[in-house]
Amino acid sequence: MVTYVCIGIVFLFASIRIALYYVRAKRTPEPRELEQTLYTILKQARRDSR
Amino acid sequence: MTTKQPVLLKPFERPEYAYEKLRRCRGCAAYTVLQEKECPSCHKHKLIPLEHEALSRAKLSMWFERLVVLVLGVAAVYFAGEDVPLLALALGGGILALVLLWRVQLRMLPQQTLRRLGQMLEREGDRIVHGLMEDREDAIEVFRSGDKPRTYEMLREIGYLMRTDPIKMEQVLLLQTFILRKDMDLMLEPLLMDHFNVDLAAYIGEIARLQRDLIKEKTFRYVMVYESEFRRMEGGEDILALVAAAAVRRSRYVKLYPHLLMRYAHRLPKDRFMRLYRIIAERPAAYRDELVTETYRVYKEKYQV
Repeated sequence: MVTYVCIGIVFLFASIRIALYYVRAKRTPEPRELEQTLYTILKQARRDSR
Repeated sequence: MTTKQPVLLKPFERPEYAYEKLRRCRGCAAYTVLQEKECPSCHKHKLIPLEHEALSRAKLSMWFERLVVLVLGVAAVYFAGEDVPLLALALGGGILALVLLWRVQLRMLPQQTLRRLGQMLEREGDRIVHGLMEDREDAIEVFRSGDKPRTYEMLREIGYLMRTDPIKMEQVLLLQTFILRKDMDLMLEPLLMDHFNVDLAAYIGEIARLQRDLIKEKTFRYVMVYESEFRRMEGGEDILALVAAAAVRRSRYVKLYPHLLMRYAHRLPKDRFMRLYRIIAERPAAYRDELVTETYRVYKEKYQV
């Protein structure tokens, strides 16, 4: 019984993680977007310091 | 007049993306953009590129997931006892789940790394800003010690991320104290400011003389926006003529900036003017009438035998 539960949890866990990977892959930011994020952060900091 | 000094500047490594310049200390989580061996905050040799840190975190998370699957799989095998079919199911199921998860994780590693990178930028934005401010303080200290080339190299690194006029001005002022050479790794567009600056204008003149390939659209626009200020400064007309000479190197610029060329065609060096003349003579219909007229007029006046 415990074995079945463990196997069930293993497959459930692996399935959820795999599904999340594919869902998040669609929302992954592009490197250019990350670069822009960085510039925005630095620009904002400059504005706040004035 | 300040005496210019001959200097040797290290080449500037231009990354594909600006965040590649950032390095994070694994000891104290401080950020720096300078290429030092030790952390400027805690002085430990624990600086790694931000991307590598993001990759490490993504890999660590994946290893944790594999560990969960492994532990549960081992538990399933343990509790199967001596029941062979159940044991086979537990073993096979565990291995299958692990292999499937592992394969997907390997395929998704690049995306996960980018995701982690994005998270780090958003969560540690304040630390990044603080790190760059500290780097600037270090640059000021180096300047006070008298090492101007090193100060410029540091400001160049900082300025790649913090594109503020004060940092640009500092770089330009330092550059104006150096004897610039054709073989130097110089830059121009990243130093263009939001307002007119005499030292920047003089620097543009030097670049137009030494490395005219650096004179591109943004510089032409800057020069044209502040043309009246250029004309008012000492030697400004010469700088404008040099910039016009740089525009002649591509027919595209001749098309885009006809008014600049019209006003300074008569001041172009002979080789530059003849190039302009040839470009226009090839297809006069492709260029503005006023520029064509002025070019032919100058040719007739100065070069026609």
